[in-house]
Amino acid sequence: MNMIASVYHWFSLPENWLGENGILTRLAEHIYYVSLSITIACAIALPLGVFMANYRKGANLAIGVFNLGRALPSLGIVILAIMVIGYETSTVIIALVVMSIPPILTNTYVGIDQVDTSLKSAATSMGMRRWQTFIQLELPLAFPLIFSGFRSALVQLIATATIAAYAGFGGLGRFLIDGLGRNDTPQIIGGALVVSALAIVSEWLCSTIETLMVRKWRTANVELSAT
Amino acid sequence: MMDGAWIVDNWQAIVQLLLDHIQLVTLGLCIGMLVAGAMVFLTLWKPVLARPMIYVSGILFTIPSLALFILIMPFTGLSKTTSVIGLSLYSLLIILQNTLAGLASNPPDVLEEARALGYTRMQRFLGVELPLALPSLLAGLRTTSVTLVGLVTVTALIGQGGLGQLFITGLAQSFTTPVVVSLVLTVMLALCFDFLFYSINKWLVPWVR
Repeated sequence: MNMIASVYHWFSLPENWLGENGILTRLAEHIYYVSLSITIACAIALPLGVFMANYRKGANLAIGVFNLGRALPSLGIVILAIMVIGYETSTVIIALVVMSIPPILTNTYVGIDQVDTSLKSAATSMGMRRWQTFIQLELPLAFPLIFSGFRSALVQLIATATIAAYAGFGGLGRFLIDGLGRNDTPQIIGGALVVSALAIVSEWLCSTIETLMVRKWRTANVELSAT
Repeated sequence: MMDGAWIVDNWQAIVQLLLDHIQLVTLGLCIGMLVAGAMVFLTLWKPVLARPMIYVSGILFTIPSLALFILIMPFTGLSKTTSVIGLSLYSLLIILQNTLAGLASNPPDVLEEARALGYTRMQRFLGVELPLALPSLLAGLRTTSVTLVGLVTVTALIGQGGLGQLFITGLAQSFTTPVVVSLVLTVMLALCFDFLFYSINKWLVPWVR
């Protein structure tokens, strides 16, 4: 009970919100890291996945990259990146991009690759060009899977950006790491709650966007199964 | 970048950390499996519970790892218990989702036949549904074990962490060797777990390719 009160107290102090190292600044830093790295990761992984699916090359590579990516410990990647590249903001961005490419790449590949061949033949026989087939058929059908890759990358990024604070970077992880260092329980718990809320809200936003997009493309009645 | 002498000097400590790592992953996986199993039994009794349970474990999975470990800390402190609880909570979603999906995709006519043969609900579950859903269950365990191998390193920040400890050592001493050693061993360990579940799957359900 005492602890809930002290966490509440931590949240109620205005300097914890507004100060130079307040929640709002840290939140902005966190969102900046995450949005920048997911944009770069998408810019790399989406075209690459489309390219690989289009030429049906590297299926094993795409799956292998995914599995390897899941096995890579984020803490190790961040720390290694700092030691090899040096201590800069771009370092953490590079580490985050590396972590988020695998899910996006693999889901793009699988999503486009699994589009029914008979549908593609039908599109061709109706006189659709390659790019028309891609935009009007493959992309809408692959969208749910591509988007779910994006979602898992996003959730993972928010978690990894938290860990990056250990290596001295900003973001909401600072509250957790500094709090652990100073044994300041209210601050650790407060920070953990804020970063969890950020993750849950972004996941909720993504699922809302997905529902809207799927409804828009009326792909709801198309059976999409990963098997 | 690599210092062979350091590895030779510290190989005993490294092996100890590796064993710790394996222990944490195994404990997290086993407890996660038991809890997920209990949840699956609950859905047999009340199928309505499936959705809320997936939902709750989905939220747990969304919470950033470090934050989850820290939110458990007030109850169990900087101990191994904290990391094991966190790891088990993380494993819930994937195991539960895979098992329920596997059970749901069982062909309905086979279930009818089991009923026609006079199987009770429990007999049907243990004798027909579970074996049929086994590949999907094992796929869930496979994914979970690989994920947990990576997650264990995060618990280094709360004083546990198996091989993750070497990241901390490396950063503190600005020395790359421990970091690289730990990265290589972690990925290898993940591949071992992956292969282990692949082999179990092949051995238990040889009829599925």
